[in-house]
Amino acid sequence: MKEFFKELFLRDYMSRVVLIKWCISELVERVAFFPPPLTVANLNIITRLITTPNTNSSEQVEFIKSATESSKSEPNWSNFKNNVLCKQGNLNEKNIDAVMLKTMVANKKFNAALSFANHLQLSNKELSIGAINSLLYLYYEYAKEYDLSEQDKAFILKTYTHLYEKYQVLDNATCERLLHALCAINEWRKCKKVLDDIQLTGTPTHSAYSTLIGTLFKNNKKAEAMKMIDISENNRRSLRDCAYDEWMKYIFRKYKDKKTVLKYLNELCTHISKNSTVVPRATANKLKESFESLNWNVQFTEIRKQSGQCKNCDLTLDCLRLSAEEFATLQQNVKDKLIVGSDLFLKTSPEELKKFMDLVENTGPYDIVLDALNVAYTAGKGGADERIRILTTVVNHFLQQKKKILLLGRKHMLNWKRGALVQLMKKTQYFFTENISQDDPYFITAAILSGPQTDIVSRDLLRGHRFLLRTDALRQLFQRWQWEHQWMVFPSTNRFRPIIQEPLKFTPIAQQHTNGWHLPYEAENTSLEYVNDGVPDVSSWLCITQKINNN
Amino acid sequence: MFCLRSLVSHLRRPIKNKSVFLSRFTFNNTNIGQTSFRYYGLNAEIEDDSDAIVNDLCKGDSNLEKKLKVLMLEVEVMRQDGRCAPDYISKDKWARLLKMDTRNQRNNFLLYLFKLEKKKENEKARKEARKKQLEESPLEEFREYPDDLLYGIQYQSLFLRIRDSSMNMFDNYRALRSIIYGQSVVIDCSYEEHMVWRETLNAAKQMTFLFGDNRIHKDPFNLHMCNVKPNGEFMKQLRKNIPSLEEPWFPMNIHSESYLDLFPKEKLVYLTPHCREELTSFDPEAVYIVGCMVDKMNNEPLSLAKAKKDGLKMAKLPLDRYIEWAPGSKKNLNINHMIPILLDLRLTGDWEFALRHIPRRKLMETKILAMQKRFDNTSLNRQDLFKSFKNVRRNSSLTMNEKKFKSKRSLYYDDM
Repeated sequence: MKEFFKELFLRDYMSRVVLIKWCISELVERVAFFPPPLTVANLNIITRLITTPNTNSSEQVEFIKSATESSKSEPNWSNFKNNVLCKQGNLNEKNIDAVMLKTMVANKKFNAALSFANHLQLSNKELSIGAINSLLYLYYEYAKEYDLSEQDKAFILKTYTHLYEKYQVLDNATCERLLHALCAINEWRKCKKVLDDIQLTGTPTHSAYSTLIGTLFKNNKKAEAMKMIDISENNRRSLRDCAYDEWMKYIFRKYKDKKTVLKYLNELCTHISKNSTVVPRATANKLKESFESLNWNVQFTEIRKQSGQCKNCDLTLDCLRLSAEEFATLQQNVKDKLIVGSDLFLKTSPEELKKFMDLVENTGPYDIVLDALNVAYTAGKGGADERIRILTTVVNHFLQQKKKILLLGRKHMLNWKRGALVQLMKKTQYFFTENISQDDPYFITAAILSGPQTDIVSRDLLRGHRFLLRTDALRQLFQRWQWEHQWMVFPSTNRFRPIIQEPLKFTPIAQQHTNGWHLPYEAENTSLEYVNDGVPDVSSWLCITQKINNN
Repeated sequence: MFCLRSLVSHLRRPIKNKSVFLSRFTFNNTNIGQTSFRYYGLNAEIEDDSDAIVNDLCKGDSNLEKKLKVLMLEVEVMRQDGRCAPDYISKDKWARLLKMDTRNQRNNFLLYLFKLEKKKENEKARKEARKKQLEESPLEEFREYPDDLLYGIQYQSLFLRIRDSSMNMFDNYRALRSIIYGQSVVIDCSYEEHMVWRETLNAAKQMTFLFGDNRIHKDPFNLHMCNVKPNGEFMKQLRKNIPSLEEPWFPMNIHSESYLDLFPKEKLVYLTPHCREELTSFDPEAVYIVGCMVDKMNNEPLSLAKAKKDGLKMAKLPLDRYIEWAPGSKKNLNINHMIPILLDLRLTGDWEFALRHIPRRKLMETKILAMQKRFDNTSLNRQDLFKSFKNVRRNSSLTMNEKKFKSKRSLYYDDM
């Protein structure tokens, strides 16, 4: 038995995957989403998830849920509270009001919640700030589906002035609730101040920004809304469905002429494309409806990964090449951020870096930079022969195309099989880093410094290196460069012929063509089978085209 | 310490003289009550010192004061919202909260404090329940005859009592002797800036264990802590753990200068898990350096970079040669595992024996045992499960030996 498990773990990749899948199938109820089951490290996570008990539900909360579920008439709230308090749990005199309200609102028991809110406001005690928070939450959620009464609106305004009188500055959680409630009654001017207060101790949430943007559109303040969108994107808070929804509503409300509507819908799509956003499914649905109302053809579609062709309209998506300017920024940053970093000695040494820079200057530019170790280890468990063979196949593949190659590896490679490797080195340029240095930053840097036409060959997704670029704009540039230039080598059933995969022929972000748009959206249930290969899901796209005979 | 221990043994024993016992016990308990009073004090008292904390921490800086007040409000809202936040937060905890940038960090820290508080509360409740139970339980009279002699602490005894302090001195003697005759080992404490607060605390704890483990060994090392920042968080915590740390007689060397200033460079060997050379045998002439760092968050090869920069020899333990490592476990070891390994290695020269200090959780056998346990507890039909695994395994890969064996067998048996 022990041996059996050992084999499961060490030798056999496939059974490891099966094993992990089995673990996940046991878990499906508990975890909605799980990253691709590929490594044994995942198993540790799974084990941890299984053993963590669900701590959120307590006897008290269960009681509140069931009691509000069953009772039709208005309960006696003081008795109700006493009943809750005598059960076991974390609720006490201090937080019971807030938690009761929150539980009721979260379960959409608005009648009970309103009645309890009424009870709270009528009682003579001063409301605690926790209870006020929950009231604001109630009104925000209620306003989503029904209209607020005048009394409730007055309460929100009164609370706003009261809270600021009492505390001068408010904390994060209160601000968020207040902002949402104020948006529910369209008091967007007051929200600005609230937003500033949140900035003091943290970044506002996605929901806060999107709700405010939605409200601005609702009140026809487009200029303000656009400013807010910029701020939101700068804070790495991409827009939620509610913001997009109000934006579209605004366009249709304001403009009646089809051409103008179209112009502004295009503006929205341009915004999505500019930020490389993948829109939520709900937004994709609404976009579909909007364009269809203009008598356009809109279909959910898939993109063929090989060719970048849309399965619906057969158009090929463009490859958005980096402009000279964009590439120059990448070039300026890559050496300092990837190789030098916080401490040069972490990844290499000054002498080595100098040697490398001299080499690149003297022998560049190249057509192909090979991550030799990565390519060689495609061979998997095979010995040095196998590794050299794959490397040779790949090098020859590119030599046939008359490419100039830079081979980048570590010095311990030279011990594999000297002769064969020397043969290879005669045909290419080469650079071997010390065994205790990292080779990945070097091959990336060599490729980028060499020029915009240079491609790289590596199966690595380079996520760690992309992260080191610090700013979002740079990371996006790097990602696009990677899509455009990264070849990958995979093992195949034929040992002598590994699969050499070309770079993507298209850029998988929202893009416009002469006759319409292609937009990616978030598929609702990404299957567990989905393996991250660095390219966003090609199966969930929106194809928007103008009908030819129309217009 | 000893007084507490003796008290415990009192409690285990049937009590002859109730009044003596009770008076001592209650005395001790009021002590506990007093020290813990500030944790569970009334709300009124807590309100009072919040202003004092604001004044102390901010020292008139209005921006800071504003932020602190917002944070206090935030915690108050969390309490009233039913989220987890402790009832009492001390001044230095506020200072830490003030330094945190994101809401998530604060929430995690508050959750940690909340759990700690609940733990203390439960502990206290448990102690009180036990006290009550002891008071209620009837006294056993275990003397058969009235003139029986009683043996044990506080009664008659055959043995001389060895006090904790004498044991302590005995251990320290061994450590002091090693300062004169022992081999030097350096603990490099320069990584404080790369650790988060919690890791610094862990490092200080490991350092404490390390000191203890070293001095009770048969032949201890002469420990040198180098690159020590006297005012850093690490030393603060270490002083808390070992109050007599900076006494002149204390058997450990603490230097704020680098090991390069203390030892000849060619003798130094930096032990780092990131390098490629393996330590094949223990060199009694060398001065080994171990980095004192906890790298849970930061997995950069810091010690490698340092050794490279200083141009020192590097080595790692030959873990893969002697031990079957579990997949996914890191190869870096705590300092309080490293030093006992080196100690045993020097004494015996036996790697297998020395490497027994490696925590079991990092080994393959533990992982396998855990998996077996999980399979035993599964709700699924085991037969099916195993069948499916076996199929996969047979189809996809056979080891070289299995393949050979199979092909040989197929030569001899027709039905294969």
